[in-house]
Amino acid sequence: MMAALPIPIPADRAVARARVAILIGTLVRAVILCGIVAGLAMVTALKLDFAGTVTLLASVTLWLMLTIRTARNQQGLRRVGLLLETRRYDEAEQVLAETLDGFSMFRAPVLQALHHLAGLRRAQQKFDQTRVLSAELLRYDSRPQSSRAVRLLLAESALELDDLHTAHATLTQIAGEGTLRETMKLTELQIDYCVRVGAWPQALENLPWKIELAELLPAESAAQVQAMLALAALKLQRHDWAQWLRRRVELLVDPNPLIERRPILRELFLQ
Amino acid sequence: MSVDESPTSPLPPASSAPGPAELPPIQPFGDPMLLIESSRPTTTFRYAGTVVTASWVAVIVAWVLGTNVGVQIGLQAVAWILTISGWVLAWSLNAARRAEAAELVAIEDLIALKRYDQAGPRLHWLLLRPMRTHEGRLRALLLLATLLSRMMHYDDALVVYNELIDTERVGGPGGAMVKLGRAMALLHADHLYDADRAINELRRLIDRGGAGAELRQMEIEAGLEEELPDGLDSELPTEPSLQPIDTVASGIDAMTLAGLRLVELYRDVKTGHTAEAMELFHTHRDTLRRGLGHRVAEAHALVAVAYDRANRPADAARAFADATALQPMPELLNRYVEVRPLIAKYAPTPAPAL
Repeated sequence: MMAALPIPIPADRAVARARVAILIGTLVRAVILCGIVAGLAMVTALKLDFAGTVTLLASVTLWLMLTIRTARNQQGLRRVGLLLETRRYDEAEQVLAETLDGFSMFRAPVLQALHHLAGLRRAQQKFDQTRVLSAELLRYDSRPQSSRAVRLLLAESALELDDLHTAHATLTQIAGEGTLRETMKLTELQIDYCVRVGAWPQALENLPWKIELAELLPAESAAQVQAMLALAALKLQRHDWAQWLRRRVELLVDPNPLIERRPILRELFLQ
Repeated sequence: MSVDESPTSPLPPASSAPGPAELPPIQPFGDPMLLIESSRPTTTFRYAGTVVTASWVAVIVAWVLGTNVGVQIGLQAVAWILTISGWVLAWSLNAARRAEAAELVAIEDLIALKRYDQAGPRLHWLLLRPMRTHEGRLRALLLLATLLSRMMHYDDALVVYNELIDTERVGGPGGAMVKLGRAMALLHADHLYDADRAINELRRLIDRGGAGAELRQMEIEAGLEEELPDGLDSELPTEPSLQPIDTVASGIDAMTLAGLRLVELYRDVKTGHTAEAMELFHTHRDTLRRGLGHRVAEAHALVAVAYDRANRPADAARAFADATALQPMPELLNRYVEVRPLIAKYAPTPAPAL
């Protein structure tokens, strides 16, 4: 029996626990499938009707029981999104620890718990842990379409940790059409990356669409995106755009915390 | 400065009647009650899985216990048919649920992007048939109410909001949004007495700790508190907080609080309490901009109306310029008829040319 995870859950312990849980689930599934195949073989090829039927029924029953247990273990996960939305982080962490501690025959609930934990750490501004957790998630699913949300988490944590190489590699791997929320996040990260590497023309590409997306973001994010666009406009001598965007930023937030978070923006507000 | 003095003003000449420049196309939904009723999930498929599983178990038991070879072969065939049909049923139901959830996300995105003409028919079509899940239906109804409000069908929107609040008793963060939407629709539809009651209800919600606390209370009532760790129960405020609520709100509650302030501001403008409107804006300016994001433009526009009525043209011009710097002017004019007279008096802040 494994010891219960401590709270707050350290990212490396969560990763190790998830790996063990996935391995145990895979082994259990393999054993049960072997039982089903053996039962079928006994009934059809070996003519051991009674023994074969019992093996088959026992295997199917075990599969059903463990599936139900997995589903019960997974029930708490449904609440985690709402708990995170209402900033009840302690409760969310408790639910995630219980999920990772419990048995899961399939890997989906384990990976979902890891994903939520990565989101929780991002909300808590613990980007080093977010990076570890999202990199682990990509080990299991690296398909460009289905892993968009995880890649966005990884890219954001890499940018926050000033790891521009990882951020670049991750952002270029995101493909296909996502939801509006994903598109907004992707645009925000792309602009952040472009400004950090001084790619001013790329930052201003498709400007009306970027502004339309920025308007849908919460105040702080909207202000940060538009401040970066304003800086890019300033660098490209588009003073009309720089002035208009800066005015919007000043109407949305107090610029000082923004400058603290992104010192590169100081230049914009010194004008 | 008058708009006529502005060479870059996109506005019509002063002689023409002021009005919205880009009204969204009207998509009549008919009677919203029809959509509310037609979208209720049916119970047709609810018991299908149970029936198939029970039949499967019965057939397997009969097959195991049976002695007649011919009957056993028949039962074996029936067991296979039931197994396959069970899988097909489960797969098709799951696929339908996924498709419905994806459609809801797409419609939500279209409404967020103000593509009302595209969102309307898709939402109408979705609600015309029984929906797969209760949660999906509530989300679709909230989208319908939002869409109807944006398209200025306030009385229809109120029918949907009332269904969500009075019949479905939606709570938590979603419930707060619904209550805010209803309060705003009541003001737009000139039901001032009901709007005042709705505002007081929202105030009580905030005083009790906001949407998060309401959600927690609902969980306790549903018996979920047993699953929570010891000590967390004490986090639920039983009495109103002593701190000023504007300083404690964060996340979803910051949005609720800002929404409440916006509704109060609109009520004050609507009822001619200009001094109260101006004071409310200045007292809660940080709350408004933190919780509303770009929609804080609406607060600037409403306070511009208040300044204008109080005969403070310089302040009104500045507030109107701020509002139009944050949101396109047609949008503000469509949303608040009270703002329309201002376009003949004050200059907007147009976006620079590309």
